[in-house]
Amino acid sequence: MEATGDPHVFLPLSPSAFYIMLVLAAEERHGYSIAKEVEEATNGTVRLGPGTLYRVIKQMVTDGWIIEVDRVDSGDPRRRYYRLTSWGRRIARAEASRMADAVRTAMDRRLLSASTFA
Amino acid sequence: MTLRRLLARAALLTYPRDFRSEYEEEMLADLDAGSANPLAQCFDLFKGSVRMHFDTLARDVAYALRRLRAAPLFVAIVVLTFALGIGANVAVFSVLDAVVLRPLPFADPSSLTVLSSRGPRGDVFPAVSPLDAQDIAAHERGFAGVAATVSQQPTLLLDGKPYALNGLQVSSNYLSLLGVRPRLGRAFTAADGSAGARSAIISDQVWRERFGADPGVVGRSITLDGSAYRVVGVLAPRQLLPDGNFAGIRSEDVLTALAAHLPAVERGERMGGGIARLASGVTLEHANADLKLVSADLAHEYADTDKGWSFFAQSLSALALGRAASSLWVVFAGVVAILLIACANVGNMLAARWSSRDRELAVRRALGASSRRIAGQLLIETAVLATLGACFGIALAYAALSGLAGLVEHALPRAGTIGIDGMSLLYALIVVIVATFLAGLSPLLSLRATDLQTVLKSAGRGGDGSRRHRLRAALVVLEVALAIALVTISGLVLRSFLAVIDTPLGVNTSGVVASAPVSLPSLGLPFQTAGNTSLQNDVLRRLHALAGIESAALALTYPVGDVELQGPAVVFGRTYSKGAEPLALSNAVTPQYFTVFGVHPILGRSFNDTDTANAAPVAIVSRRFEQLYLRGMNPLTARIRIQTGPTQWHWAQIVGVVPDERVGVGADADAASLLPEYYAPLGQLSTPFFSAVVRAPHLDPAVAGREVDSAFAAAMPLTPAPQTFTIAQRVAEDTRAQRLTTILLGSLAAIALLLALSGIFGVVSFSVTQRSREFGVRMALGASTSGILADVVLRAITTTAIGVAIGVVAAAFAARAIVAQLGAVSPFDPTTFACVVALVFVSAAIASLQPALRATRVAPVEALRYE
Repeated sequence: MEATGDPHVFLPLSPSAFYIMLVLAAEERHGYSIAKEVEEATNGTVRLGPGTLYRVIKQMVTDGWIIEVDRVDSGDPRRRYYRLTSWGRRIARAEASRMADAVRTAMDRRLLSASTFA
Repeated sequence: MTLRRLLARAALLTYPRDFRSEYEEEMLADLDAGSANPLAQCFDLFKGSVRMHFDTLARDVAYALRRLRAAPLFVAIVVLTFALGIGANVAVFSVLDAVVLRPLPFADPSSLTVLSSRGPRGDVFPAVSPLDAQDIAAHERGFAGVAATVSQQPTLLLDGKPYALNGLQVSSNYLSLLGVRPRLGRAFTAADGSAGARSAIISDQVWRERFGADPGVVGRSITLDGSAYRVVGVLAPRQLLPDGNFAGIRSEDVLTALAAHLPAVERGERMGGGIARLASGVTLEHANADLKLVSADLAHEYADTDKGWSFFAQSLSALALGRAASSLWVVFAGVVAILLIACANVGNMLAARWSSRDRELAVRRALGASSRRIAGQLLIETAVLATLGACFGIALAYAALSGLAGLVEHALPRAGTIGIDGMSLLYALIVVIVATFLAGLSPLLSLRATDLQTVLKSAGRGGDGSRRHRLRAALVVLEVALAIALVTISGLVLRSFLAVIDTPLGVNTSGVVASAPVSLPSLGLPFQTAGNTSLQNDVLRRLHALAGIESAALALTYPVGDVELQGPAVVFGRTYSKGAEPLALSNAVTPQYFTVFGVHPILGRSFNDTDTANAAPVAIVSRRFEQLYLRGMNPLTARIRIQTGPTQWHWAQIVGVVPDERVGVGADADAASLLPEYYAPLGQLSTPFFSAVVRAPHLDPAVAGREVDSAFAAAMPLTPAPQTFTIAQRVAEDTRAQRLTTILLGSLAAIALLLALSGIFGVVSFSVTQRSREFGVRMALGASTSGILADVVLRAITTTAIGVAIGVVAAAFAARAIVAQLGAVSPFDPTTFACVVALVFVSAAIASLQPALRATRVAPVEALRYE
């Protein structure tokens, strides 16, 4: 049973949580590959050590934002795969639009220019 | 196993078990694949672990707060109980820390000692003469330095107005020996000790009050006792200094340098003090052994003053703080007892509260929740309550310390430094942790007693489970025992205090106003030559002229006065071995002295105006003196030797015997026996000081005091007018420390008793609730109200009785430990013990009455319907 309610009560998300969900939005991954993908996507600025990574993963599993899937990695049977739930997806989307709003406001106030996105 | 793995495994151990069982494998796999340096990874793992535990803690605390919010009355009672226990502890610890535990404000205070003398009759006092101090300094190798001190009360003359100061004459190395530096200017140097140098260092308070904090005061010339002194320094604010004497450490208004070369007459005058610092590596015992040899040398070399005398050193900390320390540790034991009682109470209350969740907890445990987790939740709930209690407790402690400040100020050394500071808060934290565990112990133990089957079977049937009940009863027994011990000790201390302040002084002191000693204007000599009777007569004349003054006299001292003079009691015609003459108190008075105190001679006559310096020498003795030293002779034919000057004496004819007066109360008194005393007419000897005593029964003491002041001011305008007080005020001042201890212990005893009684009330109340079914059945079967009542009350009394028995034994042991502080009261005083036991039984019966009445009102139908 999926959780329902207003995703906005959980905003703002911690950077670790947001980036993990971001990476899982595209495809299912296991813990290590999540960490590597996050590091690449942020050009090394957000590095998730195993302590932080699995703590946040456990919390998100408990809260129903991500879920473990029944897939076994052929290379390493110890690894478990995770995917976003639809509830988690809504929360991630809410956070992303919050950030988009912030960027839009920054552009309106000329803090950022359109060339940032070039 | 690689280092990386080893570190990782170690770090992973800090994670909660359930987390590890799920994610450990994956984390290890990640670590193997990763390339980051092992130390950084390990650090990250620790960070995660700490964060996780913190999150869990925060969640548990939030949960605990939510649960507690649903039971505001329970929370209020528990928090109040904790507040009392923790607050009392923080308050007393703050006092203990400031007064006793903190090292004295000198360099390496543990190596500072006070030189003391032991006389030929074995009497000991912390004083030496300055010359002896100098010789000890020269010959004793165990000391790194010795400084001599002499107390004074110099008069500062500023803009024509006299001010009385507390001062200390010190050798030039005094401040450097202590490691104390003046805030302005400099300390004394050897040059200040040369004759005629006259240097002075003033206190911060004098600097502010008399010199307006003028930074140019250094180098200024001031007038002390009629001579010009140069100010060379100003001390730091609130600087405490040892006076080498009876006062221990206190603040001084002015320090002056002792002349390095003192006249020989000073050697026998043991009114000075000496501070010595042990050389590094030298112990007190070692130094004292050496001092024995030095004493023998001095006794040999200066036989006329030092024969039979020996010197030794006492620790400065022990002398200055010892007496306060022994009372304060007793009070501290009292607050620890209160904390235990409070924790026992809270433990019972928590156990009662958690027992209502028996079923829920048993089910949770059956479904896999770890007992550790549940125990953890209990402890967190207790910790939250304890922390809340501590916050209120610290506020209570602050209020108590502020309220007591006036009482404490002169009763304890270093009282000005008492406050809630970092150490007190650290102590509060420790107490919170200890209290949490102590209070949580009982409910934790009773939690273990529940397994699902037992709980499901017994739930609904009520009844007071025997194991749980025994646990609760055991706690009540403990509380009662502690309360009995504390109340008994407090009662004994109270009795001892009352005995002291009620000590009959032997004279009629109502309506008497006395003045502090007034020093005659110094001419630079230790004693005045005869001829200043004119001054005394002038003062007397003015005193007699005052309205409302019935009789007035001058005297060297009076009952409960500051001054106590002793002299040898040598009776003409008797022989004594040298140095072994008996001692008696001595006093010199003008004729109306005995009238002021409502005393009439038993034999012979009092002094009168014909007993002048030109007339025949006379004396009056007390009855005790007559009993001890004039046995077998008619006292009115005896003659005794009276010292009339530093080296002069004469034989005086005894002309009267008067009743005994007691000269001191409290710690200074010889409680067991009155001391013999003799009196000489004030006009027949030379003296550097005197006091006034007047009888003014119809005047308000403050008014009488002002009149006396005005008489002195008129007769001696360049001398500051002395303080005046009633004898009752002096007694109150002398017993300040004892009064403080009595009040503190009394308050603690009251708190302990209240807590114990509320504990009894709580447990009996809970028990009645648990047994309401049983009562309902019994009433339905025809049991009488009084029978139920008796059952409940008797049960409570029986438990109390066990506590009383243990408590009485504990009290006896405790009383024996403090027997030194109880004075004349026996530590096993039966009246006190009997009263306390009776009080506790009666109040326990009353405390159990309300629940007992509730038990009789159980409607049988309701009780049977309960499911």
